[in-house]
Amino acid sequence: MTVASEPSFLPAAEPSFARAHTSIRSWLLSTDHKRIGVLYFFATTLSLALGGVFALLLRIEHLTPGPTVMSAMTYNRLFTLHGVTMVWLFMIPSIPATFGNFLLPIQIGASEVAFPRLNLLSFWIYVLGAAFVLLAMWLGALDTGWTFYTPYSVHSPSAVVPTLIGIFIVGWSTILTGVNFIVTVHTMRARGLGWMRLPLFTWAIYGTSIIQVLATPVLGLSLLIVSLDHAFAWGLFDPARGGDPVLYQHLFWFYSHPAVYIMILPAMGVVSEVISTFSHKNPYSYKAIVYSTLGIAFVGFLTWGHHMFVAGMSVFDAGAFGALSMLVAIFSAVKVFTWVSTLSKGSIVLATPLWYVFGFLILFMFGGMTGVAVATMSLDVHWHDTYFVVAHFHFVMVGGTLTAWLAALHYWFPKVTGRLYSERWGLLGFALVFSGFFGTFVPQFLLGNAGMPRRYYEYPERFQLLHVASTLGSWVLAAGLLLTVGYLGHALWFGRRASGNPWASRCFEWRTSSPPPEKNFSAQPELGLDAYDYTTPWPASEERA
Amino acid sequence: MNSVRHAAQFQSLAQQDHATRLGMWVFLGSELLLFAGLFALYAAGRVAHPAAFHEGVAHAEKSIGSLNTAVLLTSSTTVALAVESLRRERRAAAVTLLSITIALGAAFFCLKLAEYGAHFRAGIYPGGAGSFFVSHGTPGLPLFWTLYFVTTGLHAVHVCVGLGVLGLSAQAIARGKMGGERAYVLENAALYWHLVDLIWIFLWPLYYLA
Amino acid sequence: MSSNERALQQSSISRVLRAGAGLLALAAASYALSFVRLGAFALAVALAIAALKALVVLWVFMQFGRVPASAKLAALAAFFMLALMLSLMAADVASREAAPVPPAAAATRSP
Repeated sequence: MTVASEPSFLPAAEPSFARAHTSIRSWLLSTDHKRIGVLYFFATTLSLALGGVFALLLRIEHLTPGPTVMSAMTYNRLFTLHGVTMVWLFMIPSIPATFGNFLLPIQIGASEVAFPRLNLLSFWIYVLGAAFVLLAMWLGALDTGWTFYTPYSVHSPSAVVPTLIGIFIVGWSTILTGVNFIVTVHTMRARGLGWMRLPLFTWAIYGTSIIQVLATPVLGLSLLIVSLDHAFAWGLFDPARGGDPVLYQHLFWFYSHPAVYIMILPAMGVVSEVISTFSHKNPYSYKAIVYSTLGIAFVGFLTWGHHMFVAGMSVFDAGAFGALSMLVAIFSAVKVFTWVSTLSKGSIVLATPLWYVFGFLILFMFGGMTGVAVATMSLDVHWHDTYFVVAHFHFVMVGGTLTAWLAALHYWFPKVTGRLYSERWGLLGFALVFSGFFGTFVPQFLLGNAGMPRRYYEYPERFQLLHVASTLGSWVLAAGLLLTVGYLGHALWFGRRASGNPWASRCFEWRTSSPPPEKNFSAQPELGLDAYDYTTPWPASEERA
Repeated sequence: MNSVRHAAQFQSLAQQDHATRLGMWVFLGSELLLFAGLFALYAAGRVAHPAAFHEGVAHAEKSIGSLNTAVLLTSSTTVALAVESLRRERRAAAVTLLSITIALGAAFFCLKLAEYGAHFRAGIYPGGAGSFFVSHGTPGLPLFWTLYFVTTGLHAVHVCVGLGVLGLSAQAIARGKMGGERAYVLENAALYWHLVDLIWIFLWPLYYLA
Repeated sequence: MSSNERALQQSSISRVLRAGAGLLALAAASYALSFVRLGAFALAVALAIAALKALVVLWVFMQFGRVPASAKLAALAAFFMLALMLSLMAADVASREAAPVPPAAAATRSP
């Protein structure tokens, strides 16, 4: 058996990307994809914190059935802002624009993305859009819910237009990033790196980028029309002026359903990477993961009407969308089976990234199955606009995407910072986040099934116990997240130095130093050995102790 | 011959050519999806209000709209000729043809403005505002006209962007910064203009002919 | 440049010119037909001619046949999504029925 001779850690002959230039200008105007990824990380994490504060306030309000700490109008604005901030300012860019930007070129053996200046522009477009959303908050925010259903959004005397302008602008950042990543994967791969040897995280980002490019413009148009309707009373979606509000929902959900796959596909990419690395095993079926990724990206576009079963859509369309919605779960199931089969008989190392992935597997399965349930029209009639739906999407978005984001954060922390965090604190953080999540959202399934509507300021006394439980859970979740910020921040300065490959992974990003040099590799990378080939032994120094 | 160095992130000019060409087509795909919703709204509107949409077409400024069609189709031809000229290093011809294209595009825009003026004089405003809708009360008629204004308005914005891009290209060619092996930059600009033409090719029958 | 190359180049210029003339001819035909009373077929005919013009622009001007396969895929995917959106939205409006009236309300409703 041959022993691979390529070094996975090249001595730092050149400064890391973070030390190559140190002025503020060199960071804010950098065309280095790694620096842009870091910039996005800070911007999106701030958005996560803001959206989280909104959520905590909402949960505090729900401690009592009547008014607790805020007025009804404030409550309406807060749940709208929570949704808007979380969906567009955090969830959509959270993994692609941060980890995607940092890792994509490295994982394909390139030195940069295809269009570095466009990449920088995309970041500042995101910031501009976020600024508009913040401006809208300062102008009194809006109370329409993050879905901006007409006709209310057309008539609501709140800061609708500035918010929609902000999201429209952020959408452009998403589209341009998507174009950049698609072209990068097609044209910048290292020599010899064919499509079916790409890391699975790269495939996930590629699939996500396709959705971003095709779906986001439709959102842009629908928000543009609502803005025109609101500002000038043009009535395209206003029944009082001859418009059809259901058509707004068609256009909105044509984007927003694929958008949830923008949120989950990168998370699934992270899961694939972490599972292979921490079970020291190649994926049970590489092709199954690749084809299910593309399958989700495509079929995700066929299902949007399942958000509109009770909106006034025709029964014919409802039947069509109900049937099509059943297809997409097949691909997710294929992935879950593949991941579990990969773990089976693997040489498992329990580390924080893997703990989060275990959490993902449980929570995403629950969330996904309840998704199939609400996509069944006869059941949705009962659950629509209740806390059941709220719990479902928080299971997949928080239990799925946020959990995977935390996994990614820990997994790639050594690669980006060159430091190791403390595993003990990591495990504690995971325990708090996982239990806090359960405590927050399981009661919400029960609430919704019992009839508690969503977006309601007051509720009947009999729901109070479950609401209080959910709020207590949210405090545990928040504590876990704050703890994570704390020990990771500590590790940034005081953590032990990391080698190029602390996890003994075969994937390509681990074949350069931690942090990587400015051009990603000290020499032209040789990617002849597979990203998941754990059967070929590496030098003993590169295997785990 | 101007400098043929490729940008630093690429290994070769061929790779840069492939990347920018693919990037442009992917971007055009996203632009198509931007207009898609407007076509979908038209389809849904027409199904819901066939009589009103037919009436709307009957009151359209058919001559201006058709003249604009001829103008855009010609401009697509001239920009394609400009690309061919640049491929042959006939820079002066390319700049001339680009200037004609831009002039035609500007003519389209002016005709569009004049057309809007005619609508306003007839009392047709977006949102069903205007005296026209007082005397023409068919349900769905305001929807037709508002869709018309939004769709052609968005299209006109794209015409302006296209003119800007073509203008910058003409400038670059005249200064000797584009040509020969870098002719693909103009090809990409021309692709954008062709998309603008493609959208109008479908707008014309929907809002003016039938 | 060889005479072969020159011939190829000339043919591409004349291709463009012929395509341009063809486009204008198709437009003229569509314009003329719009004055003929085709009833329900008027829109279908106009759109069919438009589709032909679009194919000419795509094939000759945008050289769709010669772009990389990835770019072809991108364009086709976008077009597919447009068709999907359009058909399901139009189908919704086309297949909506009047909401059923509860018996009590029907009794009080004026004829």
